[in-house]
Amino acid sequence: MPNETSKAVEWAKNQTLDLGYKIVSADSSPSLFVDKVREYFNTNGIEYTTFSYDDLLPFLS
Amino acid sequence: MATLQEIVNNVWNSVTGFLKVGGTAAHDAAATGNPVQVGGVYRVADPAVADGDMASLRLNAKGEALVQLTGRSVALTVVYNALAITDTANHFSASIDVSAYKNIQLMAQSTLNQDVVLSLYPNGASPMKAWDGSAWSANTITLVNEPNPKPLNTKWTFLNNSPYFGTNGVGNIFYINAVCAIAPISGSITLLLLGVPN
Repeated sequence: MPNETSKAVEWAKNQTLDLGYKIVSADSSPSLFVDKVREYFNTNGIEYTTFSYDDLLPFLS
Repeated sequence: MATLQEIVNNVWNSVTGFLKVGGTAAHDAAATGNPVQVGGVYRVADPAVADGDMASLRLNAKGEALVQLTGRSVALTVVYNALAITDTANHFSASIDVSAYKNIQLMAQSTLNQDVVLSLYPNGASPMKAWDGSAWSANTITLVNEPNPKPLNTKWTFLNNSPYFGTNGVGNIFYINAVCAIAPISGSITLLLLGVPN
């Protein structure tokens, strides 16, 4: 995972969905959370390879 | 000191109904001993009881209790846990063992911005095919940015039958492969297996 993964995870935790509420719990919506982490990587030009929610678990503990 | 009659009266009057209790054998006899058995009633026609009424437990003609399940346990296996695919390579799942289930359901959700094609590999070497009327052709499922879960059993209807996927004749293991023709730049795919235990 990229070095910036911790920042991406923290950023994703504070993002809101289209419905207006925050992604409070990553494990309750892994798909939404991963999509947000990926969005952070894209926005900040961070290179990354295929990953899954399981790869983010170390950064969530 | 209370008389025996008074004691009996006290006990008798302390409960509503009678204290007579059956037990130790009867019906078709034999079995005797300590456990207090519970009886029921066999009725050919369904009784019509009203809300709040007492009712007897029902038995069938063999004395078996008539029960109706109102729930069941379902086991969840995460096949792809929000897999953010970034390439056009094959992404095989871990082996999926369905030997503990009598019924399975595959649910998929994809927010990938490119189509993702799912294949089922019964033996890990080649994908399952289907007879199209003239030849055995690929039996794949393509998900096109489907944010809502989709039941894959509606295409792979064979999953609705006994989930047996012999590996060289033995085992109940299969794999799923996910591949994109164009590398996605956003989104992820999630695939869940719901299994009803044997």
